[in-house]
Amino acid sequence: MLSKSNLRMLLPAILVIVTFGLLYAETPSFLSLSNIGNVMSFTSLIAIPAMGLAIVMLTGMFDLSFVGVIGLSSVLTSFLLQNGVPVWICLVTALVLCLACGLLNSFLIVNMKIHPWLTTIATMLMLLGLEKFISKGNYVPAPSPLFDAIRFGSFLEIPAALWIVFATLAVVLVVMHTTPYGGYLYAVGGNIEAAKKAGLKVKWIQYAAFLAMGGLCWVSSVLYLGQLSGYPSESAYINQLSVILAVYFGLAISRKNVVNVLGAFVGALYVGFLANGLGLMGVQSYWIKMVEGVLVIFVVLGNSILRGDIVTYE
Amino acid sequence: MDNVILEARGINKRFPGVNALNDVHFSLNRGEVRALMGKNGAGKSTLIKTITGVYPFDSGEVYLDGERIRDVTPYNMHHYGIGAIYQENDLIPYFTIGQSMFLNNEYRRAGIFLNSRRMHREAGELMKRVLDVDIDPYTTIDNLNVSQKQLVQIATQLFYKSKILIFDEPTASLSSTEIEKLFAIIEKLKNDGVSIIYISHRLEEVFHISDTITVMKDGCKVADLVTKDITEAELISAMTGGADADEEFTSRGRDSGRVSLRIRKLKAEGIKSLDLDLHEGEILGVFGAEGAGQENLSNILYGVAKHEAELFELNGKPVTIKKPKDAIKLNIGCVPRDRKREGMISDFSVAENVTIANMGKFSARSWVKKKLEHAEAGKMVEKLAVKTPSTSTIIRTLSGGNQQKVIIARWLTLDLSILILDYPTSGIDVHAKNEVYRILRTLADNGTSMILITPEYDEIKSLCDRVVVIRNGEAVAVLPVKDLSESTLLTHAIGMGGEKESGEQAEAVLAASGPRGGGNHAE
Amino acid sequence: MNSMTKQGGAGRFVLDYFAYITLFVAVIFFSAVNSDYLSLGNLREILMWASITTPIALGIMLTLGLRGIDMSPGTTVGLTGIVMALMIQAKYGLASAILVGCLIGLAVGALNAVLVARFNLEPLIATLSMMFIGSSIERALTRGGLPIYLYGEKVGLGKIFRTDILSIPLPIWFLVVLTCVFYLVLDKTAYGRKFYASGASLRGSVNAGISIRTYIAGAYIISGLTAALAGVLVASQVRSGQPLVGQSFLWDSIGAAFISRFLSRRDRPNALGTAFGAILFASIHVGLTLVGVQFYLRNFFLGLIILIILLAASLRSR
Repeated sequence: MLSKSNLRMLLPAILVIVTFGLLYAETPSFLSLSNIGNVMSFTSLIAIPAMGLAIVMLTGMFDLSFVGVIGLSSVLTSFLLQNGVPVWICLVTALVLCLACGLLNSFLIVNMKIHPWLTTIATMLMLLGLEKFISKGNYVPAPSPLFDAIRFGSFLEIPAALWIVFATLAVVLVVMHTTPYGGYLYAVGGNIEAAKKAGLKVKWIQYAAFLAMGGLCWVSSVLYLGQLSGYPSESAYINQLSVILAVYFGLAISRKNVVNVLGAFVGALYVGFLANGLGLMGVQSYWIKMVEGVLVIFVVLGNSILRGDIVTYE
Repeated sequence: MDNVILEARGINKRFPGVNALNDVHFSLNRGEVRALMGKNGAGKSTLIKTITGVYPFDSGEVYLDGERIRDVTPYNMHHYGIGAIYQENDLIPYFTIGQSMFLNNEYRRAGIFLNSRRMHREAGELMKRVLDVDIDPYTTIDNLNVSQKQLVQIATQLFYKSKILIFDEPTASLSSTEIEKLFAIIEKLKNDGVSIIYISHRLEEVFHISDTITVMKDGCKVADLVTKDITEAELISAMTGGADADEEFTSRGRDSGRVSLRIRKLKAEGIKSLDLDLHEGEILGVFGAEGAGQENLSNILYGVAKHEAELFELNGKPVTIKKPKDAIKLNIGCVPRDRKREGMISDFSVAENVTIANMGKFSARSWVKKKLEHAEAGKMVEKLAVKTPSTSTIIRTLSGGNQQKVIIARWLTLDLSILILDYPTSGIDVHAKNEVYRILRTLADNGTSMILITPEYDEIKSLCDRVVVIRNGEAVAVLPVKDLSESTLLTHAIGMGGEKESGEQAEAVLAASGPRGGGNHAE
Repeated sequence: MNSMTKQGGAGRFVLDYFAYITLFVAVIFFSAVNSDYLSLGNLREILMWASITTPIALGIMLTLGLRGIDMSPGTTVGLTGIVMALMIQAKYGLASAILVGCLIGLAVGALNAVLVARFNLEPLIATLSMMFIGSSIERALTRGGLPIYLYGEKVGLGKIFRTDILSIPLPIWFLVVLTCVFYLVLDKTAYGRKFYASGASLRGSVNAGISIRTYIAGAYIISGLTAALAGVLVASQVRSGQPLVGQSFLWDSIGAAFISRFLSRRDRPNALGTAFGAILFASIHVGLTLVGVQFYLRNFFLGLIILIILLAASLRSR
């Protein structure tokens, strides 16, 4: 008989088979090499914040505001560029902004002990407001050779954007799995009292998680600007659900049933293929969002049902 | 006094509403085992958590090796070599044993990279060498049972080569062989110069293992004793302050002989097949060794956990209890074990807690009758001698014993036929305990039948008419309490022929029943 | 910070009455900048806006009280309006349009309820997904996001928002009545008692015989229904089915529901505080519009105020 943990793995397997089978049957060009390039360019926008969200969720917190951080950082970079500020200064300013947002979130959640949902809903609103204030709800171009290079450049026939994604993934994975710091994140999320008693500086670790999220948001904003040569208003906000879906997909494929970075990346790949395939089939973008919404519920639900997690007392 | 390794001077700690620690002086010598004793709520755990930096204290000084520690945080104290093994589970669920033992103390390569293989190898070796436990260090914590988890915690602290080790009720979930092993380890550590603070309720353990004893009462230190110079009676009198000697129970035999609750072949998690007859007006004790299946019984009978039964009759009529609501409709109440989480509604007032299970009586067409509510709660407070400023006081601010009385009062507003009590005196002090006993006796005298699940022999002896012994998920004996001795009870619970056989057989039985008697959890 | 909160005095006062002080300061500020702010017409404007956010906020307040949250009312508002507009376009009567609108709210609420109460999904995740799903449907029903205008309608949709009873507009009556109903049920009946018990202690309430799942499910269903009622008001106000119109109300309402906990002596969400919060946010909203703050910055101020409230609440509870 299948054990519970094996049974649980059926869910993502079925999802993947059904999705890819359907999409391939409908549009065989779906799995062509050139299309995979398209998939990856969308995946890169989802993967980085998904990794960040996974890190935050690992420590038992949550973040909704990342969409605002990415948006404001992108728009600010573009705005400064348009005003003739050198690109490096723009990028550094944006990085400082992203880290500051991470700091603000973690201060409110960790030190002021405000619930993560409430905190990040509020900061998300603020950041989206500022983003819109600068962008006036329009596409903001970011004219710079650097972003052109990210968009068109490639090395070993692999686009520059992908290099950025893989480099980021590699760095995060190395930190998570070959240094003690990844374990500390798991410790804080798994049993915060135990982490405290082991002498871990729990607050610092929670701060670090949000700072990592900030840094990853910055990387993500660079990718947005590179891929789109600018920033269409609220793009990250529109992709919020895709990121959440990616993280939960990662949870579903995890052997230990815990959110993790690699899983989030794989989830982002899945989301990328899904969105791209549906797009090729001529499905309207808002229907794609709907599919994603349904999938989030399906994945979270399926995972907890198969895990036998559903508490049945009245 | 340069033999003193740890000294705490004049520690004061206030929690909202209570003085948890009152000008406490505590000192520990190098290489001694100092037992810390006191009734529940005397401040033992608070003192420990203060010394280890978990709770910041309001005033006082902590010295280590004669030097004053200005920044008493868990992090610092950990680095100064104070390790604590607490009652609660202190492990990270998805870590391996190796990862847990080396959390925050990892072997690294080049300063930052983990040396995972070495950590796991040494973890395995340590478990084998010191604790004599053969276990794969790559096992995930989730897959360990309670006592294995504790052994991992102890091994972890041993590994840190701590100068001071604190054991907080370490034997609560250990079998007798494991306890012996633990004592051997403590002895060895002592000889190696490690100082040990040992918190326990079990007198025989304290006399067996400790050199000195610090006794606390109501947040104050009341005595520093040398173990070999005192008797058990002296120690108890120091703990209770001389008063509150245990009241001997006299009036038994309320049993009418009529069966109130009759259960046949009850099956549920941890219970394989249980037959139970509760007689009208009796207090029926339920006793079992750790993991024998009685832990979940109150939840099962009360409808919180699922069950199947061939026969489930109340006063001769078959009934179904699928949720607590069903039970309450049948006039069955329950005082759960975890008072704070499962018993009371901590943010509610005393009156609201009294009435919450019986809102029908305190409302007319759903409009709450607040006057009636407070009047009734007031009566209960008086009747059960609940110490509370008023009936509108938030229950959270009361002491444990008074909270428990309010929970019991809740059931008195119903015309209760059966009350299920799951270790109702856990975590409350001796004085309150005796009061709870008195309340339960009165209740029984008035005809309420009770099922009392408790791990304490004394409690059974002083309250119950009969006791059901559970072993391995089945009822193995129903004994009258009148002439019951502790050894008879234990013999039935751990399933041996003779009276005091070696612990190994008992351990085998316990091991067979699994961590929670859960059966096939292997993945 | 600590000295301020521990020693009481001015700091304590500011924290305790923070919400009222905010309202007071806002009123002074806006009326100083624009003298029209304190006019009767403007007061009416504020209350009209609050009449839309209050029902939504009351629904969200229920879910907050049971340790959840509901992010989907915004989309319910839009969806209700669109479906009503489509029905009226198809020559259905007003009553049936309103009925169907309410059914939509109930359906969204019921879905949330099943996910959260039956399957234990994280409320944020479940309702956020519903929010995205709902806005997809909104766009699908409106050919990608084109409003459905009903300016010529004769069924009386527009009148709902524009009828006065005793010279007080109908929506304001609605606000008052709904708030009173919520207040009475929550604070004076056994249902309210059990609701608060469930929010305070899950297991404790189960053991006291409360069907907490019923209460949790009820909270989400009611939240769906109140959002639909707000949707009816919005549709009546703009006489059209506007896709994605609900989002701006959502944030105001979440803010109002948050603030209610802060206004209560026992630190729990409540009806009167929610209505007060809705009026506070409405005053700020109307004030910002009057002062001429860019539309884009509104969300920023909203977020900022919510954050400051949360912060003050956190400081107070120390």
